[in-house]
Amino acid sequence: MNLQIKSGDNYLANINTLTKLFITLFFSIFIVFMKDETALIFLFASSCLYVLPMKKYKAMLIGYAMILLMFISSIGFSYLLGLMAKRYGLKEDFAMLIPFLRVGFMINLTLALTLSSGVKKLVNVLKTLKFPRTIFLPTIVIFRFLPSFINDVKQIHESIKIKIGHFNILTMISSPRLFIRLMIIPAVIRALRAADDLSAAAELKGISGINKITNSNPEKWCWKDGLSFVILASIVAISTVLNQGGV
Amino acid sequence: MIKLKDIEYSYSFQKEKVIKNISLEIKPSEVVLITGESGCGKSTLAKIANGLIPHYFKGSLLGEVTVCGTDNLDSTIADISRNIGSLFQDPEQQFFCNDVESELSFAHEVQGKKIDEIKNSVAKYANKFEIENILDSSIFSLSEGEKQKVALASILSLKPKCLVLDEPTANLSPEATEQLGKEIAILKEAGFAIMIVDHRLYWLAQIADKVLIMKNGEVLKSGNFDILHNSQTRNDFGLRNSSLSLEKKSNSIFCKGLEIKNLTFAYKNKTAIFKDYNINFQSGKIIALCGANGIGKTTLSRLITGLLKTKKGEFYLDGIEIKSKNLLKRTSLVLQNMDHQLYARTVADEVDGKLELLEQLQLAKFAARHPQSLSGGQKQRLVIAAAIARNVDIIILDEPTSGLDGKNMRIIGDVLRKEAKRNKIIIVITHDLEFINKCCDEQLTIKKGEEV
Repeated sequence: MNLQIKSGDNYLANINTLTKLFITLFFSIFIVFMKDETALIFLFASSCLYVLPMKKYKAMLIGYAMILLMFISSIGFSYLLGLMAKRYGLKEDFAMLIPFLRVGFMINLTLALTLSSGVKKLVNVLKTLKFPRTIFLPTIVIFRFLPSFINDVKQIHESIKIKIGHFNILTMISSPRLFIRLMIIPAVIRALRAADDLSAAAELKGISGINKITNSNPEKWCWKDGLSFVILASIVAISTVLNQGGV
Repeated sequence: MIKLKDIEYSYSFQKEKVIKNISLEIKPSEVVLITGESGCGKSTLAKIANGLIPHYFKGSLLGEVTVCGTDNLDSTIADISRNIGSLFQDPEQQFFCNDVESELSFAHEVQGKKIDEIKNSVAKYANKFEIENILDSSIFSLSEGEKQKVALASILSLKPKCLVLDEPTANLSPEATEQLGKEIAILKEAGFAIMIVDHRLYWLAQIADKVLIMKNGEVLKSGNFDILHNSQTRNDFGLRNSSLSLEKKSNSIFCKGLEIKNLTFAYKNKTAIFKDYNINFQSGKIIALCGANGIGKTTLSRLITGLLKTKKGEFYLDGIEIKSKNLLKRTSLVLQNMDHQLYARTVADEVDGKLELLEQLQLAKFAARHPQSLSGGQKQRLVIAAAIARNVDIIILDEPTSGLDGKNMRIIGDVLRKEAKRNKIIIVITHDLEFINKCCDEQLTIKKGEEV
């Protein structure tokens, strides 16, 4: 089985991963200072334009569905609070939309970074930036461990189906103890074994003696990176103006 | 090059010694085979040689271990690994990166080598092992033989002088096993000191210079490969055969059992694996289902159990059609990984209290224990017992004997024979030629979507 983070054949895949990482990190801080809904809608729309050409619609829809679910829950809870104390109730302006626009914006940027770069390039960035071992190693282990873990969970689910037949989310909710015994315990045991194997493999590769690490596949810079920075500066300028009440 | 002197070892959670007073020397251009029943301490000995014991797995280690003249205790595991390369039973366990090229370069990168040096090394070993065409592939998409090649290329690119191989053929097809044998012979010629721990013996007949047979942590017999040709010795130590006679299994004319007609199946966005495919499995027989890796054996087993939905196709059991959704009730599938399939509180619960089954598989004394506390070989027998306990018409086993010693292989063969006599359909997906020869009645080989 393969981890579903592969570099695709699109314009974003040709931009240096460091550029995309910088854009994501920069905007994750910048977005905190954006409070005006027009500025946030502008940023969200820009981020949609950034991620849409990758054609990863399913991943985007899952992300948006989660935001929508959280938004509906927050409206529901606000309404309930409003029944008890009016000052906590639903607000009629766009204030409730702001955090969700921020989350949507960040989801788009993160999707663009991960889905266009692939595990290999992301790990190489960590090597290039000379991240300390305490950050570099756990990150590479997570990337390596995730596909195996997802595969393990699938196989455990299949084994349960073979043994006891139907097993779905309703069974999990109605019989949590059975769920823990059938699903969680084997998954934890597998995870522990995989962690042990991976640690031993890491030791045999000489990780404990690591002083400096080389990135044998550095990415090259191109004109598209320069253009990306120009667009970034323009978006920052426009959204700052919008945030201050418009032109 | 590898020297073990008066070695005694016990794990930190056990009082009993798992290795007792073993001395061993492996010289350059020498291959030493260590064999014995499951749980006799072979793999522990390999871990002592490569330094994982005591640097990673703690415990009480007595004696002296030297690799290329340096005491393992005085070295770090990173230093030991520069002299000794290790290959595990499942190479995927030792991969640290997600793609082949990164895996080949990673150990060099952490040593801080220059980019040109790393690139040259990757190119050289990719060429040597003929894996240039899979450099961009994900490690999860490789066949077992390819994984083995990548692991070997990765190890050898670090230019060690010694090798430790722990059950390297357990998951390999006969062709890949033969290929591995050739590569080891070349490494031996090149001056490597090689320690091989394995249950499968036949492939080492022309390679191994010395054989050590272990039991309960001790070396009880040693000599050249000829000692393994003695059937009394093999029986005493629960070993597999030392040679392989290739028998062609003749298939009987189908009269009763499972008929699959016009089977068509493709994974999403992939070309069809089966297209209007017909295959029959006779009841009352143990049928080996063979074929190259990735040909569709496991997919077929999932289709028969109903875990995968067919695009088209009919299933008939003793002439009566069964709907795909009802297949799961009539079938048991034993997967390769045992940990996924054990979740009862006790071994007895796992087989619904059918103690006679535990008795047949020599597991009765563990009836009250938690299944996850058993050893690998015991778990392997238990998942088979659990599949039989469901009392279904079809039992499919996916590589049930990988990594099993001769004694356990025979036990499993006997139990399957009893089930076949009860008119069950027993399908065994296997590469294990010895198991096919000894235990299977018929052999079906899938070749590019065609059954032969």
